[in-house]
Amino acid sequence: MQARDRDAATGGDEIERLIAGCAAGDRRAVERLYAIEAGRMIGVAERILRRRALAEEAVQDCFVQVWRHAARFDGALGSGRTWIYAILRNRALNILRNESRTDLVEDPDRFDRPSEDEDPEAAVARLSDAGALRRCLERLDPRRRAAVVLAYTQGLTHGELAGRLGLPLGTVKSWIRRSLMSLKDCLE
Amino acid sequence: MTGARELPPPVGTPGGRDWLAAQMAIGLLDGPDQAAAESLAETDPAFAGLVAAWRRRLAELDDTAAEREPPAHLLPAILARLDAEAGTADRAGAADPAESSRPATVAGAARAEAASGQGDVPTASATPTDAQDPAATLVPFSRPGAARAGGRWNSVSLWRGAAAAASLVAAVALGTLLLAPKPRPELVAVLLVEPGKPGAVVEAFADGRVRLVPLQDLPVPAGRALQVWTLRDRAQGPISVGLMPRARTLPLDLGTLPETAPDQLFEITLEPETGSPTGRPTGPILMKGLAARTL
Repeated sequence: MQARDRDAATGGDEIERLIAGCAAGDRRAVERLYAIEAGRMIGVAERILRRRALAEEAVQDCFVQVWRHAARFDGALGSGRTWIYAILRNRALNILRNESRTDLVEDPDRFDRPSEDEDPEAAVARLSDAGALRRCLERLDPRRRAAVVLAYTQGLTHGELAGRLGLPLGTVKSWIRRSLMSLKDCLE
Repeated sequence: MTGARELPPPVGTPGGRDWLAAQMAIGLLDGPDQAAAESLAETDPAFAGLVAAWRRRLAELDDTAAEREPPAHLLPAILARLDAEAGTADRAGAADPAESSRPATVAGAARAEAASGQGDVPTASATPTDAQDPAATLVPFSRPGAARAGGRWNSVSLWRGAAAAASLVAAVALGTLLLAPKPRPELVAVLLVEPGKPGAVVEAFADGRVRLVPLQDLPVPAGRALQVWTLRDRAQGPISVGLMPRARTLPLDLGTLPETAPDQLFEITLEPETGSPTGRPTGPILMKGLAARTL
């Protein structure tokens, strides 16, 4: 819902219009989309992939997919922005999980990541004060909130969360499921 | 503290479907479950709607990522990829989209296919998914028509028809995928941090795949990485089979090594972030263990 608000802030349904432009084969639409979103997209991919070069690759792949599939975007299912970031996260998760990429770890562009980027509480704190998602996440027990936010922002699987949080796998799955169901109730 | 454990609702129930949709939207699923959820989303608009609803609920978390300065080369690289796309049948009516637009290298081709090949998969939900295994798209029969007939597969009327025809098949496949036991490793190595304290397991499957599954997080100082080694032959010495910035599930690249054997040693050492400069372990051993055959 915040994403929609943001769309509104950037001038109505600009992202949707740009996706329609992509569907029509308009390269300027891609360039505009890039100007608006590329910086954030790199940040989202980098939280998952931890490497700038891999993140940029995911962003590049994402733009190609948006360009190719723009005609199939269905605004009834969500905002254009949500659609684009779903493509991006999907691509980043696939790079993360399915590709053995030892060839790409030598990355001269490594940068010093601010440690707050790893902290799920910092992510929650950056959510809009007025937004329902923040209010609803803050209702959760802090460790359960961390589990949900880490899964989304860093692409951790149930098993990896169990390792990170030092909990049995079944407990983590149960936490996540129950946390998400209470989030859903709270957001409705 | 952890609350009572409870079984998740069965997949066939409304609660089970929503839970599956949530996990898919977040990215918690892997392997067969992810593939099954993706095919369900492609063929079942109601399920696709559940996935989309979860994406909407959580989308604001994307805005909490730091904004980065895109490098100057990124936009030209994207536009160059689109130039290659512009030659495809669905836009310009060209006969063969795939051949001319492929990068020259195999790795490049795998990436390009992974990125662009998705359009070749009907997605009635308009919820984008991605190739499970980018390399698979290079194998023509793994996804009929994907590599050579992108234009045809992008035809809306065709994919709608195909989706309808596929839905019965997919429903059957889904039941199988969700209920079938995951493949069992032939060999397992439990890597111990210290006696009695397992830190990770290495699983070797019958088809030659080997993967490392961490059981605990390891502190990795800045500028360092975790390197996975295997020792099969003392004369040959340890061989690097994986490098990762932090503990996570990692497919191991055993390359030309023979099939994993009992008593083969696996270990993880702390190395510079680009890997050991010598090709041999140089840092402290964080955990190690020997492979043993499963019963």
